[in-house]
Amino acid sequence: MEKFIKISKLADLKKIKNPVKFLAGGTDIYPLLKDGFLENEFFCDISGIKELKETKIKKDVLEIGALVTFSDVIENPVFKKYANALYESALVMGSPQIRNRATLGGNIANASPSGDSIPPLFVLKAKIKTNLRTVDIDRFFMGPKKTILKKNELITRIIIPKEQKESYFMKVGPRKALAISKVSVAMAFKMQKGVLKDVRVALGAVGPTVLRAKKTEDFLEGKHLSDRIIKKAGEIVSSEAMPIDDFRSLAVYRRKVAGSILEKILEGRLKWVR
Amino acid sequence: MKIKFKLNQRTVEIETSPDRKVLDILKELGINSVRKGCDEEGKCGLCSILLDGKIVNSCLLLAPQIDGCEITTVEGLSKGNKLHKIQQAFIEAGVVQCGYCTPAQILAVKNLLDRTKNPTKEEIQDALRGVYCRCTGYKQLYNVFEILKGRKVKEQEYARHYKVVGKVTPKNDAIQLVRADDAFTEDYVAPDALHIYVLKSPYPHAEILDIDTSEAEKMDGVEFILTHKNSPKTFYTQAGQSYPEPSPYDQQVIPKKVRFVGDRVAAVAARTYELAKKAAEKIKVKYKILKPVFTIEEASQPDAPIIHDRDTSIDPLQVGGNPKRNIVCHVEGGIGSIEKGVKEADMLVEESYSTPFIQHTPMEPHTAYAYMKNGRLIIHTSVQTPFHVRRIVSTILGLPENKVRVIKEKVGGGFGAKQDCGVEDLVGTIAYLSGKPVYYRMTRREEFIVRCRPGLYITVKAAAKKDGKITALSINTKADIGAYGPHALTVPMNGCSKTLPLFTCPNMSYNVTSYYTNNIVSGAYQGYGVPQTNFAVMMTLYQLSQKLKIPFEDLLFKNLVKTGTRLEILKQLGEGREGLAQKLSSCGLQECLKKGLKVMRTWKNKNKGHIVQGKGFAIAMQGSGIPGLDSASATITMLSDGTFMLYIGGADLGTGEETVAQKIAAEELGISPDAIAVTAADTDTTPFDKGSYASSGTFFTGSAAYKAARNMKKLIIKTTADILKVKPSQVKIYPGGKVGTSKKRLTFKKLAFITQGGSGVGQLTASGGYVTEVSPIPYAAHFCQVSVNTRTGFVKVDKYYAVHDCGIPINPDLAKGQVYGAIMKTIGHTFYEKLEFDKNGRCLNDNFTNYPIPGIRDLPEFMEVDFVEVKDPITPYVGKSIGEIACNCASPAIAIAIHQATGIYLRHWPFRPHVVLEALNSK
Repeated sequence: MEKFIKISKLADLKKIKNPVKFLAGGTDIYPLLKDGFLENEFFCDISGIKELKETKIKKDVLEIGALVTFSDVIENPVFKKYANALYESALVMGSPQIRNRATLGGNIANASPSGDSIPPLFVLKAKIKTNLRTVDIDRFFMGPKKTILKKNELITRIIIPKEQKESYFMKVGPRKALAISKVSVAMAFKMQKGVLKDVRVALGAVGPTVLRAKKTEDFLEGKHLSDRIIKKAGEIVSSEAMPIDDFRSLAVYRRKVAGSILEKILEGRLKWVR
Repeated sequence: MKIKFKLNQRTVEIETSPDRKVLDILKELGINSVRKGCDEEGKCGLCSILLDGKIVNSCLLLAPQIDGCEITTVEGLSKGNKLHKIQQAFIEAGVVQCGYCTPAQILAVKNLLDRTKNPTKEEIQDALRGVYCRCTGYKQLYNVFEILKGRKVKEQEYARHYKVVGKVTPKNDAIQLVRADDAFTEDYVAPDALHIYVLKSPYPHAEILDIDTSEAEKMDGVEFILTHKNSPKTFYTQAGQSYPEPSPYDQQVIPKKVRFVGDRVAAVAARTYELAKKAAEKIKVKYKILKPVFTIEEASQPDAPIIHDRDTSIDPLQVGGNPKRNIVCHVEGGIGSIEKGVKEADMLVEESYSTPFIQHTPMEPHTAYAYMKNGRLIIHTSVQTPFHVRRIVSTILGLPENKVRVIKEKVGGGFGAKQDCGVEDLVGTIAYLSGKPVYYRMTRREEFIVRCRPGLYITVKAAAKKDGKITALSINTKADIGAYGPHALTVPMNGCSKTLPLFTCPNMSYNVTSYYTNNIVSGAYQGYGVPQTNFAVMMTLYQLSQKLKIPFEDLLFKNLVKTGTRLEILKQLGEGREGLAQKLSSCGLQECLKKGLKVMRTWKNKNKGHIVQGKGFAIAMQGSGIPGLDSASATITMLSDGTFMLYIGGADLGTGEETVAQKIAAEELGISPDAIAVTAADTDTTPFDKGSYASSGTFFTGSAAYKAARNMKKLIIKTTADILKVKPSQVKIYPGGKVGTSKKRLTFKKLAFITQGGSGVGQLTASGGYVTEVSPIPYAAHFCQVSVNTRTGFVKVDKYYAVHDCGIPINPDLAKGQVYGAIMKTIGHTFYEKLEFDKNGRCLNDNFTNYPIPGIRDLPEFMEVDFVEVKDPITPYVGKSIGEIACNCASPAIAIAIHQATGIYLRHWPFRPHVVLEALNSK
């Protein structure tokens, strides 16, 4: 058995006997791999599986291949149309060098609480399809760098419902370029006659996994957007964030900023209403 | 496995193991342009390649992933000697400095232009955001696009009466750098060189009781191991300063007692780096762990652990050190009486400031390659001070200096980190003791802890009368200089020496104490103590002006020195020696300030909800080299066709020092710069030069080139007079390389033919050495406008304008590039850069993920640099320095602007958003 195998068809997954680590774009995993890493692990390069590089527009859903890169998300107009928050997260995600390699599937499997694509997928009600099953994204993450994926289970597609919803993403980091996101907020809703419906809010990098801000969602549901409501929503989001203290940023600060970002998104939307 | 791909249109087929990084494969195939600026994390972008037309990091690619693909690198852009138009545009834009990141930037530009013909500003920023550059400040990259559109981007030119000096000409080594020809130390390493891995101390303070290398030695391919047992016992300082150094001799190549996490414990030389690392892991070390000290407070306790004793801290200049109290040095002095000054005053302000450990992050880490040849030790290295390194290494090894040759290759950024003999001591020792070629290139993590800017704790007391006349100014600095003392005295001291002489105040004093701690080793960093001290002084004086309710500029104008002012304070400011009071030979400070204020007054503050704007400014000075201590030399020879070779010892770090010397010599000889080729910084073939530090390149090395050229001119005239049988006074040099009388002229070519022929006098050769008791002082004033987000604490620099008195900017675009780079670095220092340590002294953010540096998107929307042209009588073609002074203003200017916007005073770097927010909340 080769320690490094490359498969070019999804069907070939079945042929793999040993437990493997999957390699897609490699932007998250290679920095962790030191020289001679093949001594301890088996790797399976899936970057050549063509069928996982496609995005299909179905009747009710968007079916996104796990190997779709962040550059693809920016370039293919279908994302801006149906998954604006995801498109916005790709824009700020990193340098072109990284965006050209990093894949959505990889970003999800890596399960970093600061993974840029994850809060958008939460608010877009994404489902994660693997070679074995399909799961709601809400149930996919178990902790930092931990998912429900079993041995040799591979994310194959991301399914996003084609809803008539608005969605947004914003993040704050220490520096504009290449910042590992400090705090990020994604948000989706329908706006009907100035009233918010079907609100979803997700927060990145303020807890062990990306988390839904359910109290904020409940608070905003059915509300008329106004300055007062926005301010209150900001306060609620701050209270829902569960950041850890590290040297990159202080917990109190992250909470506060989560609130500010949400306010900024809603203020932008309010301006547009007026 | 076998892979096949196209590399720059050539088909390549290789056998490789699948876990090899594409970056390493390309390097082996002779591709220089893929550089490693980070530890293969995809953070710096220097290893960028085009893979099937898309730009990617080659450090994040494995061999199988390029099978069947097409790769383009910078090596594939130029055709023979003809440069690609983008390469040409980079040279014209003057944006090539050290050149280490240039190939990656060129590829990023190409990739963008392949995608879109007329990119917007945002698209340009996005395309270049993934490539780090510490030299240029990114600003002139925008000019590349203008040039490619066919527009002329001409910098303003200076010195109307000169033909070459003050004009824009291409940097003398730019072609080599845009093509990624062999240039840096790593490009010259022989394939059989052994690789060094350094085993480092995991403890901040410990004694090595025993070290057992037997297991490691048994490994096949391990050729030499250096520990304290077989290492030379000489004590020295790594500080690359002129002898006798004002730094204690407290280091050994490998010490028996380790003093910080990362101190050298052993060095293994083996056939590959991986093997050396594995062998190092087999070395067994028995430590006696000692109690560490991490702060000045801990270090100065009466029962504090002693880090160095007299035996291990030899103080050649006796500058008040007391190692038994962990004090490296202590100096104090001043003029007049602070007490008297305070008594006379109507208002007094006293405030304390602090600045953290900061790292230079040159994109090329410390690298050296050494071997024995004909019984001599040869060292190729990336260093600012090749001649000091030769002296230090020969002293360590007990060799005469003529048995050691140090060749400075192109330096991929230095900024002071490479002023010291930081790796050559180790690499030279191993090459000498083993007799084998050895190569050491630091990882980014190692680079992060090899040198840093020391943590300074500065208290400034300033008093003034109602009208703003300053009556007392005192600076008290405590420096945490870490485990060893290179530059321990001079960095904090220089902070005082380059701030107090800005003012005419009769009562001024300084008090400087440096402490040993078990933190990482500090040293020189561009600005050398002034960026921190000037921050403290400017902020205090600004606060004084606020309390007196007079505009800051009025307070400054009332107290500033000008041309002709006698600087009494300099007498008290010798670095461990007696100083020299100096009459100020020229001063463009007031002009800089006036020019900038005029521009700043056109900026209007606009507050929009939680975004508030403010404006601020600051002034600064620096030196131009160290008069009375340093020297530079140059030699010039005439070749047989009448062109010249110029040999200088000066070590160009990418700043354009060689070009400056070349242009000054060309001006003096009345020829084009093309007629002079420069060879520099090789201790065998070029004359002595102190090296590049203390802002001395343009002034010292340039003046040496001037003197050599002047002597050549005299020689040409005298020789021609002899040939023509006339008096020398009748002979003149005419532009374009002609010499003779009004009636009869020789071309330089003819003169060379005659002198080098059988009946001539031999090749015309002239030399010049430069020393001085006084050096011209450069001045600057910087202005900025910031926006403070009062919700998130984020501060954005919107506008930035800098005005400099650098005498004559000898090459205006390179001079501007220096300033842009310095401003961007200082913006990083001001807002986010800070090395963080855990409670055991281990660095927590020794990588670019957690220690971000400014990228192109951090550029202010408006950033301009201007010069006031100032004549100084010290030398002709005078160039005052510019590299360091440009670091001194941004931080106080920004902090003042923040105060103007919000009313808060920020006194501790960095102004991270949460700090700003906390200050706003506790207002």
